[in-house]
Amino acid sequence: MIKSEARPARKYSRSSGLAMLFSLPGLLLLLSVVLAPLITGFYYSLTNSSLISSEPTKFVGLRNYKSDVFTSTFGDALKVSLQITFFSILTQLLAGYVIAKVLARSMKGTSFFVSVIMLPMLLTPVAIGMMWSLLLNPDIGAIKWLQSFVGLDINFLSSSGTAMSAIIFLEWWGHLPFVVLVLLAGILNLPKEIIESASIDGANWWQLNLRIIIPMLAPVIAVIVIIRSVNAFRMFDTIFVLTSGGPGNATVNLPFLAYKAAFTYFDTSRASAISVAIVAIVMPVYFIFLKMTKV
Amino acid sequence: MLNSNSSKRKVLVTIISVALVSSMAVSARAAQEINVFVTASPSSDALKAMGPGFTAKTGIKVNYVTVPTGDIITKLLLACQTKSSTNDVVQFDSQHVTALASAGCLDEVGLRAVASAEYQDARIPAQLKAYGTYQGKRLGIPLSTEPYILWYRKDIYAKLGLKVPKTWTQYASNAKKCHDAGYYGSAIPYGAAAAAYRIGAMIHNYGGAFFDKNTYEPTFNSAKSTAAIKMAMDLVYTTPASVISGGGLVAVQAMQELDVCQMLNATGWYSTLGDAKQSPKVYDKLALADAPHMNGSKETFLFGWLIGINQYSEQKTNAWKFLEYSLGKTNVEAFLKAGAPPTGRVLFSTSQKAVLAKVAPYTAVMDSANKNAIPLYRVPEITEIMDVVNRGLNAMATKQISFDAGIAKLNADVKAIFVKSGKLKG
Repeated sequence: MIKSEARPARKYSRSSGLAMLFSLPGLLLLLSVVLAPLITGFYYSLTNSSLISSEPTKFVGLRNYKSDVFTSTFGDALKVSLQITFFSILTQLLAGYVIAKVLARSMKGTSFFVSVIMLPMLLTPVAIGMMWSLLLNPDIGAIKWLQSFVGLDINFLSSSGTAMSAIIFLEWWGHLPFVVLVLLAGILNLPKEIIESASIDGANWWQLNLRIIIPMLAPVIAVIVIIRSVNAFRMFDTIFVLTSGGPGNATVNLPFLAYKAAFTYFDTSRASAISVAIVAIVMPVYFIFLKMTKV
Repeated sequence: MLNSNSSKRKVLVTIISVALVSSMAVSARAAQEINVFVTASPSSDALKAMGPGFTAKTGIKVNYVTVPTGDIITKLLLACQTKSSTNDVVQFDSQHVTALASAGCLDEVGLRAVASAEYQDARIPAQLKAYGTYQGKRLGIPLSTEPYILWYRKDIYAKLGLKVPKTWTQYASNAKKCHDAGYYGSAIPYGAAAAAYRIGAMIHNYGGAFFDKNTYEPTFNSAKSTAAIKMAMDLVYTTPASVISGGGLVAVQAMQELDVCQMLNATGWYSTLGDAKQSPKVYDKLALADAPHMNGSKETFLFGWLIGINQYSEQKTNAWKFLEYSLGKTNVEAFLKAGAPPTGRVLFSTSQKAVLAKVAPYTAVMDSANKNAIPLYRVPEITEIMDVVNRGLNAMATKQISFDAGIAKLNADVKAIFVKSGKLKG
């Protein structure tokens, strides 16, 4: 009994060791590519490194964290990042669920609509930003022209509220296809018997969706929320192209703040401190994702 | 065994020989080649046109490395941090002199310019020398000179009977008359990445400044600076909405597409606005004049492309030969005919002046502006200062913050930067 149990374990251990040996070069390469920038970034965050200094780099401890992370500017940017993340994901889930439910019914032309809805996913964020900055141009943009039919004249980039709404809308528009795609896959894989038996038992549309379908989709929704949270939190391109963080600092989020420190002020140590702080904020979400997907 | 050792030795000797010959060939080639780092612009087009003639004359091959304008400074600083000798001649924006100088990226090209009979440094006005200088060292020579001047629509001015404004009060008066007649009165950009440049020039037109050059105390709350900012904010009502959130390019696009009476912008935009293909609606309706001023001050910022030599170049002499050839007295006309905007050097022959008049009919206005031009503040903190001033002015123009609070914020933000760098006490 003992022997029969011990043998497979030893076998497993041997094959596992061999597998590890063969995987080692790839793993080392992966670790160096992933960890080296992180460690370098953390190191720079503790120095006075700057692109515009010819002085040797010195260790300054937590000075950059004190001057650039634990500040109201960082707090404001964090608030912007959280707002973009929260509102874009909430609206993506609501709209995505409705669209996925419609597409889940096998109707004529479904594949065409799926293709159309997926189009924004094919565009790069910079292209999205460029396209929408032209559409939203308050003098000659198509949105202004459309507004004229209903007697509106809103300059979306001139106030903090509307500029933020525009950014959230673009984030929503650009990544909605991903949410629809994942929810559609989830809905199509739900056990039909449970839904049918609930219907037979007299569950109405609301009960069916709120008490049966959505709870069954919870793992799928959780994965969407986690993946999209990390991405929306790191959003940069659209802000860079559409608002440059304006008006004032109204749409400066954390990645944009790090960008400014690195490429406007040329201060690599301050940019590194902000980036390390971003990683520290995003990391727990990522670990939750790993735990949920059991990778 | 012996044969084997012998053949191994032969292989080794062959490899070493090939390596030596290759390295010698590389060295020989390197000595006959220079790399010119440029960004897409009429100036770099002209530099590229000068290459074949230079190679024919000297035998030195010229390679051009063209990068997007926004990437120039980062690429140069990163190359400099690694002491890269890849680039020999480098084009850069005059506002980045301080950053490049602080990082020790540039050779003191001024010494070569002074010693060169071909370059004729004496014909470069003092103000143009100053904008390539940092802490007494001339690190760049002018490739293009682009001061801010007044651009106005001749047709609208004539229709409304407006006179070219000499002061900002007259500019505002013209703006109101244009506005009342259904035109946009002004196109000074207020964007979050642009406002500080033109409104900064206005502050200097009023005799004000961002901060005291000796004490580093911010002076946005001085009477002259406040009056200039107030004037800028008073013009928002008649500015195209896109320009309120945009930069220099957006202002130019507004001039191209909308009926805008006037704007303050750099002479460098002439290649766009004066071109019939790019600006069919307005190219023949625009005129240029001295920037308005106030309080007896005509001071303005001077911008433009500078060109210099990489501190770590191994081809400094050849790099200078190229600059001397392209920007020296012999090829003044050829350089202009190749499409370059004027460098600002004083010309002397009638034929040179004729070519210049054709390429850049605004030269007289530019020369006049150059006389009162100063470089952007030469402090290492300047990029951060411009960013906070851009954003502060943009917040004021978009009514995110009141005028008084905005002035206080500008002062506080700039002071915080100097406190952080140790120039001011907190």
